[in-house]
Amino acid sequence: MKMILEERIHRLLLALYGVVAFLAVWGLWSRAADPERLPAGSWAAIGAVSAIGAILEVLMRMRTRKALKLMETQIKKMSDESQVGMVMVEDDQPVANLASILNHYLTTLRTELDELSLQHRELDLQILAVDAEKQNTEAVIKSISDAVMVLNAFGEPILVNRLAEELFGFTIESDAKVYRTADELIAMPQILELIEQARMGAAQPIRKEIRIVDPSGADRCFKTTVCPVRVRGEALWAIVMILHDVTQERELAEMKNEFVNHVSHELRTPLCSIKAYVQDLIEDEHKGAPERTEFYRIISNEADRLQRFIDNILNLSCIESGLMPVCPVAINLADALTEVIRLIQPSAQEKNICVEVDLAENLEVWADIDLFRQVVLNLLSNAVKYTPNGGKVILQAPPINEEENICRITVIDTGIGIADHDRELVFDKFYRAKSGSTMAGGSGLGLALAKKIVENLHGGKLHLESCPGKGSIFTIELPRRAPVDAGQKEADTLVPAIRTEQ
Amino acid sequence: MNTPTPVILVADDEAHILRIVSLKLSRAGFSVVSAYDGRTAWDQLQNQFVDLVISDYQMPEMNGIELAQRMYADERLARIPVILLTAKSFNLAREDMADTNIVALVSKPFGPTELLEAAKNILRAVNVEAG
Repeated sequence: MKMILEERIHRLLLALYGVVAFLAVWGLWSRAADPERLPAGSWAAIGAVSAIGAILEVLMRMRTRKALKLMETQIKKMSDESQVGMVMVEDDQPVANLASILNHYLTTLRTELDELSLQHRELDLQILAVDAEKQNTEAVIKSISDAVMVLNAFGEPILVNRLAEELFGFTIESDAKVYRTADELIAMPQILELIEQARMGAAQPIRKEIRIVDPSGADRCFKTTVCPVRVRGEALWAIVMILHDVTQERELAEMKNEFVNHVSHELRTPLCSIKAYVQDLIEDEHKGAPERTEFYRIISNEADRLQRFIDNILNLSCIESGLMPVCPVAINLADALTEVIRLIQPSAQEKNICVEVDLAENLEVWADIDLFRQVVLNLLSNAVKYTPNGGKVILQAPPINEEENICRITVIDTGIGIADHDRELVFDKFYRAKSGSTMAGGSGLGLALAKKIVENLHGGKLHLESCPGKGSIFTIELPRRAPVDAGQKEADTLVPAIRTEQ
Repeated sequence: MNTPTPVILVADDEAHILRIVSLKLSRAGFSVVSAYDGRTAWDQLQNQFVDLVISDYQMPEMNGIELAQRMYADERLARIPVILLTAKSFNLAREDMADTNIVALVSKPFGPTELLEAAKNILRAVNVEAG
């Protein structure tokens, strides 16, 4: 190991102090032997050596102080710059060993600091990744088409997507530090009850269908799932509540049930009459001829009713699905309606109702002849049905102004009329007005079908004017002549599928 | 000693069904009262005693269930058995018929003979025989 200057001086000083001690001992011994004799040289030597020693001591201290000052400066600089560097001291400096030890320590420190810095950077990256993941999760939750609410173990909503905000009527600020409990925010007892069940230790997700009145006052139906989230399967950490809106599905299911129910009723009722009368004819062989004939007539009428209903429902279905074939042609009104008037006579005569026909000459309409006949027949049947015994039904078609391209056919009855609030409903499927204290027969499809045939398939209009207690006037408006693009339409038409009425 | 002729009230808004059911019951020896809707049936019940009610479910003014519930709520009519005729697409739930004395459901279409047998069985159970 290299010896520094201070060590050499130190050794030299030790030697000098040894010489001084020797001279002092020698001087004292000589004085003891001969008190008169004290060699002057020895005192001089002691003095000289002491002086040299003192000078060397001072020099050595000065050098040490300077080296320490240099170290102090360097360490202060490192401290100021928050850096771990090296203390630069020359090898022959008095604090070289100290500097060497310090540098060794600093090197270790710097290595550890570098490692810590690396770990810090990794942690920063991980925090960024977690933040990004959290934001992504929130974005996913917020974009879900169901209402989603996440609550902490205290029952405080901590994340609510837009649909849940709209449903529950509150929002949570993204930087919220203090949350409020669901009890304070939500005024829906069913929701609070489910949250409480989850908090009170439900092990499995709770699933329940609930009805809620939303802030707009609408009654809505939700399939609700409440999942308790547990840390390592024990302590409750969060509650996730998902509400799937099934209002529309339930409404559709109800409409479907109602429709099936109507159809069932309309099929089973005439079938019941047919079965009952046939059974009676079979079982009662002694029945008289007039009664037998009447029973056959009833069976035949009920079979017609069944057929009409089936035709109507299938035709309506065809029109609504856009599959009804239409073959419009120019038809002579009087010719087309002869058959219809013949068909309505039996039911009119049964009620002693007079059917008056007042058609202007040479009237033409541009329509599908079968569908047109069905519209007029449905309107006449409706008029006969709601007109009391002995009443009157008028089928009218006034002359047309030559410039006008609209033909108007009117069915007037002296029946019960239709109240204002029912006027919009009469064209709905299965609507049937009350006739006095009872409901008139029929399927409730005739007017709905007539409206769709006139307006959806022919681009015409079907109006209703009515006065309760006096009667109703239905007016059909159809084009007289073919529209400009009718040629193309005619070429596109298909062979009629169902739509038989007779 | 002659037993009085049992009286059956038949309510249905379908005239043909009402007619054939009434005819069948009359021929079997029952006295028949008919009504075209629930309200008329209720009025008939106020005016005369009946042993059995055969009522359609879907009727204007008052349906068959409402009629049966009203009867059940009236101490005088609560014990009269009711046969409900229905053309619905599904069976009625038990809770729909709560607080009624509906003892049988007959789905349309039915044969009048089966309905007559059902009526006889129910009346036999309550010790009433046709004259």
